[in-house]
Amino acid sequence: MRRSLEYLGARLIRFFEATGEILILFARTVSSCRKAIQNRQNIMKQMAFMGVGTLPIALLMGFFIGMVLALQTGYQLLRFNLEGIIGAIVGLSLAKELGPVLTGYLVAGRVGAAITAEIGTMEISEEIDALRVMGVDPVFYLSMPRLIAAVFMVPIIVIYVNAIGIIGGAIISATYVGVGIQSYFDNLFDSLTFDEVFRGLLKAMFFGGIVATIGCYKGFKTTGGAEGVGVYTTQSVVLSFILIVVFDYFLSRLLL
Amino acid sequence: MIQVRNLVFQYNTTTVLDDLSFSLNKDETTVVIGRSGVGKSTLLRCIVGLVRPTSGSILVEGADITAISEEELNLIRRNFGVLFQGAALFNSMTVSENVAFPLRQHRNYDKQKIREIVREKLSLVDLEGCEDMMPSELSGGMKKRAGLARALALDPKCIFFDEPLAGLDPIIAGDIDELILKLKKVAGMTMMIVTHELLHGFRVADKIIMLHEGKIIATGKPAEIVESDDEYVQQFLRGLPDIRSISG
Repeated sequence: MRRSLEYLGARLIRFFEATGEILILFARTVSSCRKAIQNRQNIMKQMAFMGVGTLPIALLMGFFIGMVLALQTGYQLLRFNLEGIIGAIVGLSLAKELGPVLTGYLVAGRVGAAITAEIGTMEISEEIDALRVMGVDPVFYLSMPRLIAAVFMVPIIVIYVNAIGIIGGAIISATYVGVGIQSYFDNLFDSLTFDEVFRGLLKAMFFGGIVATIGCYKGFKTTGGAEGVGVYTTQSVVLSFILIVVFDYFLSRLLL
Repeated sequence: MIQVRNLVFQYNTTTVLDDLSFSLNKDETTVVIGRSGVGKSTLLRCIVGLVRPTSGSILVEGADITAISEEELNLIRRNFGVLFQGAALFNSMTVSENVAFPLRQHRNYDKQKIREIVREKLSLVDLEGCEDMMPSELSGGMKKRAGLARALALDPKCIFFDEPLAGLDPIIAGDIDELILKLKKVAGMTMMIVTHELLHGFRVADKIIMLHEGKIIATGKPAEIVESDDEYVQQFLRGLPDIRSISG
């Protein structure tokens, strides 16, 4: 019993320690953003990696999500003769929820993992120490460009995902559900407001911030050689997934 | 130039460095020797500010680096050059980009001036013609040379070497020795070398500090260390096995 309590206590302390460390890293990264102009090359490089590099797979994902969404909802709506509202359902689902969340997952898997693996490898090969002894703050040099790039690029990717998803939905709507393209878009634009799209993009910015911060945090914490890089990269992706889900709920409540 | 006073470093409950006091004098090469795991690298990391000691002070030209912020420490570190055990080159950059890195971060030089300095530093470490190579294309000795060129880029007042010969064959190790001796002559800077390679240590040292179980057990010129009465110093110098570990 005592051992179990000790174990639980140790885990709890570790949890609060890690939370504190993540918040401190986030605060230091945000604070170093005032010198962002000095690190603009790295910011551009990260934006290209996160944005341009992720876009093709994001478009593919968005297109199929839109189609599946139209297929599943269309099938149910047909049973109740409500297929006329399919444009609204696909558009709202994508803009408010599926676009930001699934793009967040995609970025966590592709970009978050790469951030942790890169910084983790630098950590174990003393490159981070080398930065520090050269008087270069690793948070300024490594975290800040990744945070800025993620916060700006994830919403942009989401815009593309939403657009291509809506197109995918329109194709299925016209070919399978029997709702013409014109009716589909009329219904969609009647229901979807700019406000709702903006709220989705705001969520995407948060998710970008989560992926970058967790990716960098786990990278800086990496120990244990090549095996450690693998372990911390996995932890980074899993933690990002969990935080995206949790924050999605609270942000949805807040932005409802 | 650097004074270490009553330095203590504890890791969890283990005392790694126990009340160390010594100084690194201007233009002098100090070699810290001792068995593997005795705390030599930890001592180096404390002095360059990579880890904070548990207690004690480290004065760099009068400023106690244990009691200042990271931003203030960064300014002082511009006077330091460090050659890490694995050279710690940035793997995503070429050799010339690695050497140019500290210049780009801390000096407002134009591209031409940076290129000239990079060429000069690479020439100093005999790495001409390797500017565009990636670190993965370099041998162990070349990596150390490139790391040294980067450490010298800002013309530091003080340079630190962490096991500079680790993983090198005797001939390449001899080359690195020569390079350190050349630097002593050409650049005339304060150096601290952490090593367990005795031959190398005695070859380049003006002063030797020997660590054992976290404490300094001998300090002095190489000749004084050779003549030390300390039983452990003699055992270490002669490479004799630890009787307790054999009988145990």
